[in-house]
Amino acid sequence: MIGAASIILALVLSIFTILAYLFGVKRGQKRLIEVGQNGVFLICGLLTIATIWLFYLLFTRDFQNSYVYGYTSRDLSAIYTFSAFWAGQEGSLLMWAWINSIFVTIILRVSKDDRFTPYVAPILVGINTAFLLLLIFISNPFTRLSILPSDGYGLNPVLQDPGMVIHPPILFLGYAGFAIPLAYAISGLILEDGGWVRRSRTWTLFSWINLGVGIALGGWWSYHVLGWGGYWAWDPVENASLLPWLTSTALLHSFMVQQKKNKMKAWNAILAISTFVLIIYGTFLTRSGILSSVHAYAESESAIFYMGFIMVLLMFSIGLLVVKLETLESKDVFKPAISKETSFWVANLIFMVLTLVILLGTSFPLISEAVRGYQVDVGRDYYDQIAVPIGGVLILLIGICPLLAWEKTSRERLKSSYTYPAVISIIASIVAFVIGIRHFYAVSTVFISFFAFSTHIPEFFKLVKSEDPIKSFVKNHRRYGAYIIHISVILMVIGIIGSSVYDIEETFVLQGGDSHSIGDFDLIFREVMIVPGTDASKETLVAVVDAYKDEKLISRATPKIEYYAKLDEALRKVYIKNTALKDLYIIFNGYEGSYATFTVKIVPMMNFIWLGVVIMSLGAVVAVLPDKKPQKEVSIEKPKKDMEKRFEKEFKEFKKGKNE
Amino acid sequence: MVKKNISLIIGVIVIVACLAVAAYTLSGSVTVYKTVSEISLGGSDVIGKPYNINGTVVNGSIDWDKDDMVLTFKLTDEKEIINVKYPKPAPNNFEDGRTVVVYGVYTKDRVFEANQILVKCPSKYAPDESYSTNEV
Repeated sequence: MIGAASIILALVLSIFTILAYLFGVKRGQKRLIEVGQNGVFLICGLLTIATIWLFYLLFTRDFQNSYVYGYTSRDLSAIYTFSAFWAGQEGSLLMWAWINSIFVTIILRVSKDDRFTPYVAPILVGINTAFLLLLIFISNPFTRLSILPSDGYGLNPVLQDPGMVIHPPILFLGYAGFAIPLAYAISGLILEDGGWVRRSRTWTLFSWINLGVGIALGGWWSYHVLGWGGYWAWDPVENASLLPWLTSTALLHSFMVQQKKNKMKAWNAILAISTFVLIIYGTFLTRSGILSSVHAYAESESAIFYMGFIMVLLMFSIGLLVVKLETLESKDVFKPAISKETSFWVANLIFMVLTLVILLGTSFPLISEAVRGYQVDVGRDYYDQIAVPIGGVLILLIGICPLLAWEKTSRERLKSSYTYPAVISIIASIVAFVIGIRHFYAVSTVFISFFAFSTHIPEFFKLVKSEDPIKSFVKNHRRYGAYIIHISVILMVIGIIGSSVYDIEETFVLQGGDSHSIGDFDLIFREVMIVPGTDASKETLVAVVDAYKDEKLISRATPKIEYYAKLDEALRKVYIKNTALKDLYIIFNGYEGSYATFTVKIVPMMNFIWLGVVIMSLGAVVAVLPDKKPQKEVSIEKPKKDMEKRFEKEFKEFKKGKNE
Repeated sequence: MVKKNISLIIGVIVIVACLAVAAYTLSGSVTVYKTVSEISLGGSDVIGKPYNINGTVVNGSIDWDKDDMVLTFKLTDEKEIINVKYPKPAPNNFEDGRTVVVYGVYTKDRVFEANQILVKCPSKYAPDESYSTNEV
């Protein structure tokens, strides 16, 4: 009752809030805007109640609630009862709506008197209205069953993992967060004020790093739970989360061009809008059950709803862009010179190509079914052949771009900046080739990473040698944050290429006491133990395998097969022995008589990926530190139209009224 | 203005060119979904080409030959049955009666040589039909 009532009330209030803002802004009535503000706080309160209530139902095992019935059971541990909140469609949508309402509340608290806020708030509430409609009419987490089942259905074993406790909420912080740059971009278009860029930068960075870390955690979960030895399969749903990450990465770069040079204004608005539209598109792919994928939720009737949501967002934004296009004209555009502007333009172009190529592959099954009427699947070789080389060019730019100057880079500067990096990376590539690194991608990676390191690392030496390194670091924290993130990307690329080019896989059968060599490891299969679970519902088969390297025991590996009686599902738990440069990855496939079948992989360089993710987060924290003084922004005052002047005046009066 | 147009034109050309290459590559990576009947009754047209097949694993048909490392089973769409060979151990949750998608090639010997098996997850929650739901 409480939960369902809260979300229905939140929906009604959302509509009132939007109307209050709309009329308040139009008529310049501060009282109406205040009503809207209170509406936002109330919505946040109601959704907090709904969230707490769902947690309460989950923990009290109220199996008459169909969500609790569907995702928990009596034997589920507390931590996974907690994460069951976002294990399904309904709960995760509620979480999304709740996060959105918190974000709007924060914006109202932090920048209450900002001229953008009366526009941004109702747009965000409007977006949340869509989620509330979904929650109430299609995926209601508070649906009750007509009878009280004695036990729940249970949580899918693959979701009973620490990765699934943290991956979804972090991802959703990113998803929900990207509504904010969109709201600021639209407000900026309405107000004809480029200041939306400065205002939404922190939110964009925050959402960007959450989305990125969320994607990485998904890969980590896939690597240690799904037991196929990989972390990225170019699965439609993975792609759907990568697309907005690519457009937002492009956005973070082109933001700078607008802030420093007042160019790329229309482009930034387009990117901010597309990022969120792609997020909704991805949600549509994931949740409508329209594509077959490991991620797909159960099918639901929400497909048309999401399509409608996307259409509304697109039509509104495109319409607004067309109407306001002339206000976005940059005075002097691009001088054809080797400059930061040009490099950002090129980088943006490549980001766009990469996004479109992945979007094409991801959407093709839908297009095919709609146009030709039959289902198809796009193989991962498409992405490997197309997306990987384009990504490679982008990574090469990481090494080149940061040292270019605005406007025009002088010949001397080009020479002094790039001579050493070029020499170092060519020598490194030759050395790599000589010592046996022959694969094209691997040699390219050596070249690209040495180039990027040798352009980035000297910047940090310069910093250390400067008079006051800390002060200079804090002052230029955006730049150093970006450098740190660039380095982290290179580390990840080393990990990705290393682990996909040089991995080894073998499947073999062993009898107790038998040994088998793979790579530099010797494995001896000892025995299989049957471990009964703490209760009758889970039984585990454990294979004991001793792993030796150079005749030294490095690990007593225990890959397992867990059997969940209630769900009638067996789950292989891979055993990963992580060493500095290589992972030994052992899957116990099954047991027959005295013979056990194992699939063993040796995956090199995985630690580079995880280390890269950690460093990337640090870099984002550095980049998002508050600026001491507000960044100088190019004046973008334009002759104001009468309407807007009137609004300004009224808004000032409104602010004055508030202060009294 | 002229310069702006030039950068826009270059951008559009690059994007269109890349998408053309992508579309060409895509046409080589697309695999069509077929039913078991379409394969079984498809005659020589379906032989030698890669397909995805949706089907149910026939009860009691799974056999793992540990010496040759070959998994064999029968796949059905309730009308026709085909034999499937897979050169790896069965994936997680591969059992009698499960719905699976196999990817591979149908050979002249009337055996589907799969190199990928996707087991559709049964634990996805679908409300039990015996329970009628009513919202409160």
